[in-house]
Amino acid sequence: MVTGGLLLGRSFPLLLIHSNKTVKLTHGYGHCASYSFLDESDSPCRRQNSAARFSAKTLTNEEAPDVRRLAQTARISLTEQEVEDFGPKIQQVIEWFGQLQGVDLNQVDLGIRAATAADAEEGVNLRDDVPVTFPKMDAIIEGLPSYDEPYVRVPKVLHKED
Amino acid sequence: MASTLFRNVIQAQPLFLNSSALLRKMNGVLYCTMKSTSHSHTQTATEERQQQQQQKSPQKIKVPPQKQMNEVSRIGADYEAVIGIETHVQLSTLTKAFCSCPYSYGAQPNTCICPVCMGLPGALPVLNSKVIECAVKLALALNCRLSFSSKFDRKQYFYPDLPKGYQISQFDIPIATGGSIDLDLPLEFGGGHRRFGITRIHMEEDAGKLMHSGNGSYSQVDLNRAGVPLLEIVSEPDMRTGIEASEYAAELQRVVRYLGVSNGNMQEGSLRCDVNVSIRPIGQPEFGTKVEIKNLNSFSSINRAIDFEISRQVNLHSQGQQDSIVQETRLWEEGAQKTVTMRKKEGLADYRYFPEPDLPEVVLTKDYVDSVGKSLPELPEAKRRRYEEMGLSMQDVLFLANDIAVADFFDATIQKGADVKLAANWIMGDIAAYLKNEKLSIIDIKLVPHELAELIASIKSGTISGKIGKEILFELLAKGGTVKGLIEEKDLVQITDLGDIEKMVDKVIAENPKQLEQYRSGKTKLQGYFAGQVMKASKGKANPGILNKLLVEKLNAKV
Repeated sequence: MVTGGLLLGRSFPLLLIHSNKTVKLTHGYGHCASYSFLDESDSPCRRQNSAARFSAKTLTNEEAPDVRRLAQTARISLTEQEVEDFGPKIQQVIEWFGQLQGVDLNQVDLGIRAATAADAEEGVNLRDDVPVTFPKMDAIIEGLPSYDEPYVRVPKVLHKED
Repeated sequence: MASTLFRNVIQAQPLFLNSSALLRKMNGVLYCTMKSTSHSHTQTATEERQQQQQQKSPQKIKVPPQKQMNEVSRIGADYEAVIGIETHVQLSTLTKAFCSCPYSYGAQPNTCICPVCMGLPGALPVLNSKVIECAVKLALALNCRLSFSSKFDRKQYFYPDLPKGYQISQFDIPIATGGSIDLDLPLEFGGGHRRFGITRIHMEEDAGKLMHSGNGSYSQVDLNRAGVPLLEIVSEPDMRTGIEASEYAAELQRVVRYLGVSNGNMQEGSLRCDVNVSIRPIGQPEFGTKVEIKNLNSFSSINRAIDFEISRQVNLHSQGQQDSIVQETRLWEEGAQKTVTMRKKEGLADYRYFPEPDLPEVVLTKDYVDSVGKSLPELPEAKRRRYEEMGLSMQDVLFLANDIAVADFFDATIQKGADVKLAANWIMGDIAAYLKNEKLSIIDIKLVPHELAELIASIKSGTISGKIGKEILFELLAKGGTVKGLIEEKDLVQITDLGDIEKMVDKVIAENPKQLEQYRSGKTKLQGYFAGQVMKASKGKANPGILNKLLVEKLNAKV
């Protein structure tokens, strides 16, 4: 199962793919609701001694993306026309990424995450615990769409509903 | 063997079955024993559960017969509560997790902010190295397995107090897993040692503070707290009662304070607990439906909320309505002393986790971990065991080991040679009373450990009396100084010379013929009066033992 997430940038949406994990998290009680998100049909195996490889099934066999749900979770409003149009387009992007499935990973060491620009930095990317006051806090406050000194005014949302 | 614990604090409830007899207000506390373990043989409940698979039906603990054993408590004895706790510890680092903003509790709203923690476009997070240090310290203190390679993930959801629209957290590869915590239950709850499992510890950032306006259509946010580092500690579902759960939380507080990673204050929000409670018939391996409880602001509310929730669930079971127990989040209402539904249905949240691309892997080296390990102080559990071995009573042990500053003071005092039991008594008695009155902490007082040792030695050697000792203590606490100095300055050396005391006794007896008469005619209590007079004359310096011995002789002598 592939879930797509739409990451909202300021001016353009970026489509990111979260491929299925083969790591089983908490067993037994699993009393953290968030951790039971993992798809139980994945074969459970511990990272440490796993020979896990991502499944070879082609992405084109996957169910069509649920555009409405994607829009809802990303809080993007779409017109009916857009819902219809975006489905196939999203599918195409997924298939384009799907080419990665053709890569032979048998000789490759497992990593816990893909290397990104953050890893390219020289040395270890850590900072000392030394306070620095940001000099332009006024400008930040000024840029707030709605300010009820000293608070930021926001719409009333009672629950963390998705 | 499964532990049966059903602490039943019942007020009259309309939910009770049939009999009107049951509607009488019952204040009995039905308290079944908890499993007693010796520390050498302690296992976590999870380990026990695995062992117990082969065993036959667990031994039921005998309950002392109660006059009114009501329906619910009878049924309660057949159920086992299963409790797990998720704790968030706010780290006391100088700066936030991913930016250099200073954080101080109580600062003016929205004055500790910058583009990173405000989630403004183009800002990138950079991890505070102190956060890793705190995480490793805590993981080692809780006997966890460290992940030498871990990563951050984005936990995505929309909420007004979450500037970026996601929280940087750790999802599937946390920095630590599989540990345990040891604690001793307080004596007033039966005492006993416990070991509870820790499932995982991970690093994450806090959100801002959201306040809902009373009337309106809008809310207000203070983002000072956004980005403050947190450690989330998830326990194994090993607790079985409210008191075990609250003591678990108290021990976590003790540990984080000992380590200096957090001030662990529930009232301030630097220690937050969410509790998951379910019940199941004894012997059933599957868990029952679990209910989450939020809004717990103190250890005692953890205790009471869990006990209430256990009662509520047992009640429903006893009425055959166990299906109405659904997986939900309930709020603890301190005023009404009950849990209430927060919202009807909670579907599984979809946080769309994915690895945080803006942060590199968190890599630990063995050298680093070893150096952090060496820097750890003696932890509460080790201290308690050491104090026990020194011969202190459990009550003393629990008191002294509770606060690291007190323990350090005690350790320093006995290191100067003071008698262990006496040092404990002084600290737990007069010194503790002084601290309470003056609302001070032990690090604020002017008395230093080696002067306390000196004081104890002076009393022991007979140089000064116990009573004088107390006076000197008070002076030392408030103004400092040395024992030797004060003794000299105020001429407090105890009078132990037999001749000197005898002279004073004779004088007092001669000056008080009427009382002597009364004493001789049977009012032997007046010995105290005479003793008091001699003490007054000697300015409190007469040795009480010698004085009283002489008095008895003299008062009874002349016939």
